[in-house]
Amino acid sequence: MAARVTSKRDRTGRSRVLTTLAILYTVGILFPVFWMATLMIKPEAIMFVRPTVWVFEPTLDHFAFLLHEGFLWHLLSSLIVASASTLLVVIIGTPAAYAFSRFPIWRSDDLFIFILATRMAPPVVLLIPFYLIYAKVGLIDTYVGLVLAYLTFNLSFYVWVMRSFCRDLPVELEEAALVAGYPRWQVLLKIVFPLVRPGMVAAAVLCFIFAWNEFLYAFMLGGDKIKTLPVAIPTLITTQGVRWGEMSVVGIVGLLPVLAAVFFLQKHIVRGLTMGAVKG
Amino acid sequence: MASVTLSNVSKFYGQVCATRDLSFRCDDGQMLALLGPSGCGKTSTLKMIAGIENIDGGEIYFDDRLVNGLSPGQRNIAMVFEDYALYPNMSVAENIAFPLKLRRWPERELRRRVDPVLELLDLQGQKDSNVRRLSGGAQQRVSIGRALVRDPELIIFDEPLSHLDADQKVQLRTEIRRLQKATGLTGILVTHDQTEAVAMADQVAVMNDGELQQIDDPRVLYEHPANLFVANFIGEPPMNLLPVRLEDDGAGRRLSAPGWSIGLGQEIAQRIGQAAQGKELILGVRPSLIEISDAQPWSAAGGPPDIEGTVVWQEYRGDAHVLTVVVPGTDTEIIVESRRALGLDRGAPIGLGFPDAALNVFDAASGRNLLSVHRRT
Repeated sequence: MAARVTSKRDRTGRSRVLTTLAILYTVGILFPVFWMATLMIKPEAIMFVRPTVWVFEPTLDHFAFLLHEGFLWHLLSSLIVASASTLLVVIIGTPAAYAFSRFPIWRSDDLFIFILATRMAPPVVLLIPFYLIYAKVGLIDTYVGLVLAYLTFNLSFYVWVMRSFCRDLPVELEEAALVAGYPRWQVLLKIVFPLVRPGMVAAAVLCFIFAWNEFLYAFMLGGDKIKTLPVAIPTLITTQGVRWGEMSVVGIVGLLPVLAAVFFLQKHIVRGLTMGAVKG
Repeated sequence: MASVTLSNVSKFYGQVCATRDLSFRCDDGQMLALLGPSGCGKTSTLKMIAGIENIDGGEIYFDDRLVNGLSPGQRNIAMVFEDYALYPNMSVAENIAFPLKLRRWPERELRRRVDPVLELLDLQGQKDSNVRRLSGGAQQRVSIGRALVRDPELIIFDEPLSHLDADQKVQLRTEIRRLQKATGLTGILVTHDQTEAVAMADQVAVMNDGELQQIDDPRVLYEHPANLFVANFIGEPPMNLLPVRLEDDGAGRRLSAPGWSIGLGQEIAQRIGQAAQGKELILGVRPSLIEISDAQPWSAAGGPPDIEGTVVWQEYRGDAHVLTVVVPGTDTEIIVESRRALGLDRGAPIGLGFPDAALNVFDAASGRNLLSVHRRT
């Protein structure tokens, strides 16, 4: 009895230490974000004075500057490019993944490796060909061009992930619905897609984040009329100095959609990432 | 409900033949079991009947309606799957109602059809629960409910009991059989478990390598297998299969092996026929049909037994005792099943009698049973 009491005390003691460590780690990770958030509303004058000023009158100057510089448009560009490419990936990729998992396609394994291979080369390698082709067909600095470029990267990833999701779905579920008289497209809509939705959401969020964060292609293939946020940020490094406050604003704003997506879709993502590991 | 007739149905996957010239019939209101080892083509057969797989040759009829080109939905059949195939995103009642939803019936009409099914399968209490929370047996009942709800021409059961615990298995086995008889539905059951096939079906079709071996009612299948494959496949403990030759000693015909022989009655000797003379034959006898005499001297038991042997092993199986008997001086080993306790120790002498009705004589080369009562294919 006594032994058990001590061991219990040990355990709570250990878990307290672990919790403390976890909190410290989290604080360490989140401090830069917090620092950025303070810079966002800190007046220029006291931004880097030593000792650090923790209490100050917040200012909206940085926001005003950004609005004046047309950053809303850049934000909109980012949203358009990331959403459109993600949407297309889901629309094109889901049927492709389903077909790969279900139908006896001629040389389907080779074809699948080929799809995967488009993701194997470092993006930089493909940049020059992309640029040359786009220059020829007039896709430089267009939404269509950027969306297409992201599509090529995300599609292979998405198809790759979704194929295994579709594979894990017992084919009997579809057969049962077919036997019940449902046409195949309805089987897809009513049975298959609802059941692979966790996977779709998880993969789509990752595609969105990739497109949202991407810099290299957005810079090379766009960058003039169409500037996504990652491309717009360097313009804040000016000849008059680095505009830290404005950069922080853009950084925080850029973080928000990703945070929101992960927060709202967390349930799906966790289920998506663990599905297949545990058989229900 | 309809009868189902397959006529010379063949199916190939590339070079691999799943079924070859398969022909059989399941009468209206009957339960037919397709029994065979895995890979024998029984699942392909079932999928062809369901319309999930195409047919490469032959015809399938429901009554006299050719269904070859019809989609699964047009055939009006229902399936019960091995792993239930319930839609995990729907409740019990929704799962059962799913086949009806296609018809866009009003909610009230749906309930009027679903409720009796829930009641029939004793699922009212769980009708709103998530199907994942149910036990295997209950899940399979939901799946049966989903099949029953649309009054199909035919229900196909694909290994419906394989994933269940032993007690639920026996319970559901009886339940399915009773439902099938009560509603008069035509059923085709696919299974690799002979107990299941024998317990649930009116007719059992044994398949191997894509070909039908025998279709008969369970009793005939058990006592008079059409060939060596069926003899081996059906029965636990398995049928004794002893290599013998047909000989004539002047007094009558005998089946003999080195060290022992048994005499044949007039009628049975005739049925084996001249053709068997000199061929290598295999004598097949069910362990449960062998007569045992342990009274010595043999005269007390009405004359000497066909074979005198020695008990080398005894196994108690609850409902029966299984003895392994060796014929002294030979390597012939015979398994015998006895309902009563014999109290024979290892090494005890035992007399075995092979009644004519229990005998099956197979041609070793072709495997065919020369005494087959009838051969329906």
